[in-house]
Amino acid sequence: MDIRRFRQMIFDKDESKGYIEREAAIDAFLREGGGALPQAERYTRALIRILDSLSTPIDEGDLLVGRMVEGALPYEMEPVPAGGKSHRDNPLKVTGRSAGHQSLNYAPLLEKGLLGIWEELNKNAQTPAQKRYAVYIREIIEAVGRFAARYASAAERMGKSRAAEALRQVPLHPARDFFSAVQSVWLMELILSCAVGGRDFAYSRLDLALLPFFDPDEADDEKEILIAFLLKSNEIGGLGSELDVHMPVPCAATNIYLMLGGRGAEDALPLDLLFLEAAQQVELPQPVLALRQSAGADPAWLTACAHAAQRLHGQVSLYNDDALIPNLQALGFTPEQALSYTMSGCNRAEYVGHQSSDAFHNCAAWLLEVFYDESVTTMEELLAAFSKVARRELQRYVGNPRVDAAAELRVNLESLLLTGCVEKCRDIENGGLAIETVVHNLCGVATVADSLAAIETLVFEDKRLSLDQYRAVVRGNFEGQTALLLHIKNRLPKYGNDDERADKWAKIAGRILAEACIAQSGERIHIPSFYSLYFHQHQGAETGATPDGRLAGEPLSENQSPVYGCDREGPTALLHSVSALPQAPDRGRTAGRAGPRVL
Amino acid sequence: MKGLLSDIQRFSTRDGPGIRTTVFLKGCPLRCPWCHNRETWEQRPSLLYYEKDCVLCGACAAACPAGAQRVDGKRHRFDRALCLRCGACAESCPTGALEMRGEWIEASALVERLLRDRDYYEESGGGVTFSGGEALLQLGFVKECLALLRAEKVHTCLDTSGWGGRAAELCGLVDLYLWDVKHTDAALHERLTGVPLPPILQSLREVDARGGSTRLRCPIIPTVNDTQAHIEGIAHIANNLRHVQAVDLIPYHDLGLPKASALGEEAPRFAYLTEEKRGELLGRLKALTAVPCGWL
Repeated sequence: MDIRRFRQMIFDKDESKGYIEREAAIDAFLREGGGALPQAERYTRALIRILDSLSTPIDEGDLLVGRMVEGALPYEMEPVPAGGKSHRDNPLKVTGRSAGHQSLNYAPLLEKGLLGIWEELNKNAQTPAQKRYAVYIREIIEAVGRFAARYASAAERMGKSRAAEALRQVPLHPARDFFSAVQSVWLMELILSCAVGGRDFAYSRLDLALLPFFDPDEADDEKEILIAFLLKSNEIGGLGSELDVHMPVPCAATNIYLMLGGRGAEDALPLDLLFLEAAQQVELPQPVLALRQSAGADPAWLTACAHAAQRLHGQVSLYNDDALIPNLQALGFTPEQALSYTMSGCNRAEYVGHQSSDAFHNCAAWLLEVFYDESVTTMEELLAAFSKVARRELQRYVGNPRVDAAAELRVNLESLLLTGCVEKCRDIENGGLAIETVVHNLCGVATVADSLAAIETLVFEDKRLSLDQYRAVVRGNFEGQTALLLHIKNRLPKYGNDDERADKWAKIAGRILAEACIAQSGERIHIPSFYSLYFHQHQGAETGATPDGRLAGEPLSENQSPVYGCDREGPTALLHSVSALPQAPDRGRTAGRAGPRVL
Repeated sequence: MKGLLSDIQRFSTRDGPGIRTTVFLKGCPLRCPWCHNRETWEQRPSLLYYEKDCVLCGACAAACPAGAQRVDGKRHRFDRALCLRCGACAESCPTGALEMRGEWIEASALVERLLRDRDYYEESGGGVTFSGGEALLQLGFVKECLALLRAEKVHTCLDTSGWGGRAAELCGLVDLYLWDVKHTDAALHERLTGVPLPPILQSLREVDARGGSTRLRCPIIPTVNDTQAHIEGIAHIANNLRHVQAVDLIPYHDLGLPKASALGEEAPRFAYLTEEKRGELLGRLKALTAVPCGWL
């Protein structure tokens, strides 16, 4: 396989172009009034129309087939809003919760095929709504079958009999071998990402799904197939990041998480190692390689992960089984769910066949609210008020919007690959998932910690100014207070330097926030996290000055990292500080960022 | 016992094997012109002033009890002759333009701080390095620290010029000596550093005789010791030691110049070594000794 050529094709891609066939189908559908239909009907009709209108391009070098026709869109591209939403109305998207960001379970697809899954779904259809749901799903599956059959014919015409044979079988029927299994997964991923349209449909534990088809004696061939698969994962979505100009397609800047290794996946070690080898030959950003680690892991695995992390710039993230599995269980995951934990876009802790909701909270704004509360006179009162505000804000997420939406029948193709939806014969948006979770991303924790350290030092220890005077200075954005501002920035303890005077506040603030999240659990499991994606920028722009010397409009601290420029004692000190945050309910990944001075 | 610290550098990766913490101690009897740690020369606290960081706020002038710090209009003036080295000015400086170097600390308290990175030492095959200044100038303190670290099974290095003739007293406590070889010509050594070479070499032989492992660390300074004769001298030393692990050639850099300026001192600037020169010197060294050698 000519990896170099395919890589170059990806690099050379004109990222101003979109999926014109899909857009044309949607235009026609909307012109005919399809947009006014109820969601289930609208989704089904629109998706069938798209699938039936897509052509079946194949490159002469393709091993696996399935790609999209790209071309200049016949209309002005609208600015892409933050969050990577589609550039235009997407009739297939209803609430945003079903547009990707899921840990798909591909095992049933490979074991039973779409028709096999549907048989089970249909068996579970008892109510009229469920029966209607099954009918819609059946119609979509048949459209997928037609698309696959047309691709099989196109592959045959190109002399690609292996792909043709596979696509006469999958994805409607069970996979027969490693090749047809991977081909099945790719066609579904292509349909979900590019035809349905959404980002971050995670492969999750694809290795475990492929394991029954894996033959170590055929490793050379299988590696070639994996290389083709990894290349395909980079052909969609473009190479632009979420913060960059990116393709006007619904899966723009997709981050497809693939979880490998870890406890309970020991049998998959040879396949996981093969995935890493293939990824290092492809050397492209997708999929995101989420690699599970544990104290008892095979040394060969740990070594391979270290090499991959070294070579695959930014593509690798590491997760600690020994922290995450017990933590997720403590939060309410069953032992099986916790053991099969995986991640999807935006670093959400999930399990295979699950999707978590998420929210990004501005914790610095919560602190400011209590800082300006003139009834607060001590650190103890400040912390108590901070906890109260955090709980008040997080309480808004109690309840389950998906179940509330059950009155209207919803249809989403990916529900077939999510645990619970088939068993309940209910769509993900009608509460089909086995359990519901929401990840609370608590942004700006270091800004909060440094602010608390500054308040303690200046007001209560050094008594340099009163709390009221401090409020006035911060409210005034430190105008005319240059000396004080410099003192705060340069001389006060800062989280990120293994300095207990600041780290203790990260620990206290982190615990308050985490406990406030966990306290909301009931109908849904609430998972605390300190991940901020890019929200620390947006939230910072809307937040006034903070007591740590951050001026109004400046970014908040990112993830669990120190405030920009404040980590000055090197990486080991930085990691000590980060470990002060409550890791127990949080995910094992440390999204820390070392400052340039450290590097 | 208390010792006088200049600095502690965590995640140090060039002062011995693995991830280390390097302890820079105050005081050095040598006066190497190329030294990049001039703030360690005095065996008492030193005050550094970085003009580029000064915002002329006048906080230092208000804090100084001796009138050594003044801000006249748009200029900061520091009269070092009046300075009591009390550190009040540095304490009050909001930007860190004034910085005190010199912290008295008990050996046990220092070791407690050093053990913060123990996990990294263990995982990387690293440990703690005592450097300076000349660490042997605070022999008793260093000895106590080394004993405490040995009890904790932490690998230790001593980075030394070999001054003082007492390095061998630490055999059994130091895992690896990083022995600086400034010049192998005795006359030039004394003229450049201010101390004689023979006692240093005698001390090195004593360490070797007692089984102390060493790496020779040789700063190569253009126009000073970048000569064939010096390389031959290094090879001669290495070839006559039984426990030498390697020879590290260290290229000159000028990172010490801002610190010299902050101390109110003039320091000579040397040229950088060319790649060609580096290759030539290393090639010559390799031809003369079987001891592993390379540029650090």
